[in-house]
Amino acid sequence: MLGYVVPDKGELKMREYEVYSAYYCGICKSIGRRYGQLPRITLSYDFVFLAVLLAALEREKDDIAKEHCIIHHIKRKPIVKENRAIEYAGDVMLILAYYKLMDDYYDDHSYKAKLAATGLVPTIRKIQSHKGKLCRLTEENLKLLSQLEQDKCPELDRVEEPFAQIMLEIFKNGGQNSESDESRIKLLSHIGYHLGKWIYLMDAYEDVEENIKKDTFNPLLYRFEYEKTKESVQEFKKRIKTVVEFNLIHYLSEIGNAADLLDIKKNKGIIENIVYLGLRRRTEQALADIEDTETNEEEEK
Amino acid sequence: MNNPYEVLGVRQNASDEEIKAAYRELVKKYHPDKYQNNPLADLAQEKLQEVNEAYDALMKNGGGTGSYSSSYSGTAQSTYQGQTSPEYNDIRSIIDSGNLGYAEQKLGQMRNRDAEWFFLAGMISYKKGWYDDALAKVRTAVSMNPNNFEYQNALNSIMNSGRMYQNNSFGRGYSNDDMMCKLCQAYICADCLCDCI
Repeated sequence: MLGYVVPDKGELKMREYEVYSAYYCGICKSIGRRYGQLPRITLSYDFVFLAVLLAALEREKDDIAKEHCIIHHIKRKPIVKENRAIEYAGDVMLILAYYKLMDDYYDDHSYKAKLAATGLVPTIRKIQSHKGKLCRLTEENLKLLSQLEQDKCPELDRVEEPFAQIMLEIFKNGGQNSESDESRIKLLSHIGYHLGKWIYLMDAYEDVEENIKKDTFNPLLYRFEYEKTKESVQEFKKRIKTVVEFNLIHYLSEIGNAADLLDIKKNKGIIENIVYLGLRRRTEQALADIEDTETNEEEEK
Repeated sequence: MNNPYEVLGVRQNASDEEIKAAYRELVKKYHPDKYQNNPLADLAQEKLQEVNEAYDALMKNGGGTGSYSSSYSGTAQSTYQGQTSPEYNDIRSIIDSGNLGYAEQKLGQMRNRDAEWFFLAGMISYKKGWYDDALAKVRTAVSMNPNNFEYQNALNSIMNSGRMYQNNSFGRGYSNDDMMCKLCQAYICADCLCDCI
């Protein structure tokens, strides 16, 4: 579930792009400083949105400095100095990465996953000491999800629920501080919940081929009663596309509705870009894949 | 009250035209249609109220026309048709109060699953964020009772919910144009290379 929540880079202003990258580097640096080098491998762009969004609700200006980093050791890059939002985004990214790996190990007995998870154990121990509730909640919901997958649940919304609940908690907890009021918490929860649903469905739709090939669970195969003998994978994807698109866009529209009501104090351009352009671009890419592969096949013939 | 200029996002001595334009944009943003059957409806209503007050305050100085509020500030929600049983009315008011779990439980206890039953079950799903489920149930309600205006309306509103988002994203420069996309991708590729240096 990586690399879904990204901006539409072409439509970002240069200044916005710099700030966005500075947040990414800020998260990476913060993880390195607090937990050492190894956990940095879990870094993904998905949680930059969370950091930018949570920071945007605070009054303080972004503190950006030019610093060296391991990968870009010659050129100095702009990096946002550690703040609450950045630390938080780094922590939840590690929590999700760890429990996902453990889950893969339990479900598919993937030893690669087990190995990677073992590497993260010391880090997770540290995080558990101050984010125990979130860790437990993530673990429980991923277990619930495994159970639904084992039961081959044909209800799309029901299967999406555990991951949506995890994301809801992540966004909700991230917004809780002395200044937060009820409406802010409600809006962040709304964004997290729908983002979770969106990520899960995007992942399911993009994995259809692989799941059919490997004969592993995908809720869409049961929701739309896929039958191997009657249709090809492409025909199946084409058949379900409209409904999948309806749901994906609906989730995005709710994210937009909530984001429109948030009192955003800075980096509005970045947030609106991700919500209205980046997520949509990514959605259309996932949905467009069918035609692309088809035309490629025809060309090959 | 907050500074009306800040609320509308215009500069201190903006012209009437600028204020009107900004106001129109914000009304679109917080429009009740966008938040129909939505748990965020009350928050949107508050924002709209604030925008209306700011507009009224500024326009009083300039003597402009009245704000948008008059036609919309009332609760547009309770438009239910009164033909249903007391039991259903009960569940409707539980749904309105936001206690979805309890409404679901009460609905589950009913044996007679008619069009109204499916409609209310669909509305609960919708408010929970289970749109796939909601659509199926409201569709069932409509097919069982095609003449019911309320069911049909709800179905249309669910079907159209994504359109506002899509328009909004086009308004912000989203482009489906193939040529543009290819340019973008080329730009991103070239940019990645630059980033490596």
